[in-house]
Amino acid sequence: QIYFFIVCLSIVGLSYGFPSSTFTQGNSLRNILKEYQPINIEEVFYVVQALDNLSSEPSSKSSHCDLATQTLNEASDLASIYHAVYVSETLGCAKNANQKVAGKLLNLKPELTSTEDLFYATAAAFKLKDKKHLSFTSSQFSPILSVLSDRVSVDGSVKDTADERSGTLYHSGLAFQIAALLKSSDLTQDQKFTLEIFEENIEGLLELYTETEEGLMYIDNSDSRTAFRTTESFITGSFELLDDTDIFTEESILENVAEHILLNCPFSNLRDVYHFSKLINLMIKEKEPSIVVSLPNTTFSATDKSSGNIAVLVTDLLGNPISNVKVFLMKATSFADDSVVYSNQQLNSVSNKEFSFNFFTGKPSQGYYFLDIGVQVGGDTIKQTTRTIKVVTSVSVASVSIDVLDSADKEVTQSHNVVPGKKFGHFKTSYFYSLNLHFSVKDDASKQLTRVQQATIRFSGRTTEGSFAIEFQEDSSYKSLLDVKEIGRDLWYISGDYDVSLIIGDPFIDNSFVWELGTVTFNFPPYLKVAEQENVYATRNEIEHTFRVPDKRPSETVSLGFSAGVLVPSVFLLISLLTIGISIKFPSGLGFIYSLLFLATIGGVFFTYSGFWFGHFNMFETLGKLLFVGPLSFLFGYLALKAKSNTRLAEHEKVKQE
Amino acid sequence: FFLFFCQAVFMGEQGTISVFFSEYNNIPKKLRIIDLFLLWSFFTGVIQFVYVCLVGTFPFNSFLSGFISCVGTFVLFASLRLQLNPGNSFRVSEERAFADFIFCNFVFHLAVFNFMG
Repeated sequence: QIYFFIVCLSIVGLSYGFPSSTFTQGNSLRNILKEYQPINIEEVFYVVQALDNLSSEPSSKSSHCDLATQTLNEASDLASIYHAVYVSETLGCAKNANQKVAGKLLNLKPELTSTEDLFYATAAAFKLKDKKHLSFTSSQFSPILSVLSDRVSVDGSVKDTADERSGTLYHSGLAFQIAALLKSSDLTQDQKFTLEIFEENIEGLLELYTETEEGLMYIDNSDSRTAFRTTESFITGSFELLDDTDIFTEESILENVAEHILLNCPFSNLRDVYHFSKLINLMIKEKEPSIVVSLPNTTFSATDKSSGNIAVLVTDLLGNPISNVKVFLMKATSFADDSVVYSNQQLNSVSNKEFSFNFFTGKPSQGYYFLDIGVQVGGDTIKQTTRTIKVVTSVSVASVSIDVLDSADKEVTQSHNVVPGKKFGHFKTSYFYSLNLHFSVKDDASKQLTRVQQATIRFSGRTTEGSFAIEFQEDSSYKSLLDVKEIGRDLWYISGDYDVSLIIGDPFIDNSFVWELGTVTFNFPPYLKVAEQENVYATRNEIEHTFRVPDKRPSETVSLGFSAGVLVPSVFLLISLLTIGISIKFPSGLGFIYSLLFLATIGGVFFTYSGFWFGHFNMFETLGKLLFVGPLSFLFGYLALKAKSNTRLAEHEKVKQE
Repeated sequence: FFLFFCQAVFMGEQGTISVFFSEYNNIPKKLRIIDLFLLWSFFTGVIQFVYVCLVGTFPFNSFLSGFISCVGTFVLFASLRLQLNPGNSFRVSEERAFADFIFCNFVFHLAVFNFMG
């Protein structure tokens, strides 16, 4: 029978996501809310409702009631009516709804009202009806379902208005809450169908969660600032609409949301505090309240036999004990090799919420262990969750021996042995020797020789340092033969005194240490010494710029002299032309005009060149002007020279005839 | 030999220089005018070169521009002289040769002005 029970334990335990921490800041949150001075009816609503969810009351009830009454007298908009109704009903100072409020709530035009306002109106009206402060037939609000049905988008979410492109989880939650209020009214077939559509859509929308570091939340449009509002609205609406909320349990949705919000209590935002308190309240009051499995201590030292008791706290979200609960250690698995260390053990009850188990009875070695913890409330199925613990130990090194060997023939020339608390005597060695290190690491818990992750020998000099790992041997000891040539490479072959240290470290030991073994003098050949590396952080020499030496220039007199000299050939040219007797003959008639124009265009071309040289035009402008002047020059030149040619040929003919 | 050389070159109506000048006066006036321009561009270039040799090349681009302007002008004038010389049988007319000369000067001096700096 026992074996059958144990087999059942291992089979029927469902994998579950229990939150790992409780909500312990309830009192501080209550105090903050009581001290807060709200400035409008919305803030009063958040304060009053949050305190109500946390089973407390505000300190200044009368001022809140007065503000709520005043708001209801004004009845300016549906949101403030909703806030005022809930404040007055919660504080017990509500009266029958006045005409203004009744008119606003009961004469809605749903198709012209946003989903959010429809929720405010419906929730306020039904709250008043519930408290008998307003009477109406529920079917008056049934047409809202048809309007909401038109606002369902492709993914199943509900839009705020029909014009919007897509719906949001926040408005979907509000729509579901409206639908839940209208569920028991007289509905038409279409309206009942709308309810069924909403219920079916919930399963798909539940998958639209966003994973956070701690758990999950529901977020619209990637705006994490409204995460609490969206999550609370959606989960509340889904819970109120669905008859069967097992899907939340199966998918561990509530547990993962609880994990996130417990670790991220929104103390700084009043609206989020309200939504947070509403979520906590929902999780506590649902038919299957969330169970918190927490381990106050997750690290255990194997050297302290008395510290092997794993304490498991099983409470509700507020840290209160849960009655009639049994806790089991379904399985404890080593992370290193997946070996099962324990299975199917019932934990001992220490108090009404603390259960314990001695993990060290099986003498586990150091490392991480996954604990599959099962919780059974009453006769329900066992629900499982996983927690991780770490087992550490202490180690010690009894002694370290260092032998100095001749590298050639391996003859031992010096031998040193050092025990904890002592150092070996200063010795010298040189380039042609080797150091043989040998020591063992013992686990203080099991008294066995063990292996650690870091076993290093370090030589620290004035300017250089070298570390060398020591090899773990088959006989579970540490041994390494270090040639001083190899040591010297890291030390840049700088001769001198070096402090020798042994470094022992491991993530699973709680006494990692550095043991100063002593001092050794290394002598290296001077020619091997590495020049001191340039310190890249040292100040460098200032860079002095060498500017180009200007070219030699002549004196002004010489330059001007030669400028005049260059003009001398021009003067001789002019004189010579006059001496020869040049005759400038233009053709007659149109040829004369063409000649003048030709000369003018030539002048224009060289004027353009001069303008370029003086910097008035750039090359593109110059070419642009040439494109205009050039063809003109060609044209007039052609005409002028043609006229000249005709004149010349006519004279030639005349001479020929004569 | 030197005396004989000087006598042959400088003395009398049959001296080389006298013959040269008398024959030179017989060539068309146009060609003589072009020869004056050739001499002008030649000596302008020589003076610039002497200046550079004396004081250095700075600014080098300006020197190149001025010197090449003289050389290019010399070459274009020489080409015009060849084309206008009745003794050479070119098929182009005088006007055509002159028009080519003007066009080449346009293009050439665009580069000169650009390079002058």
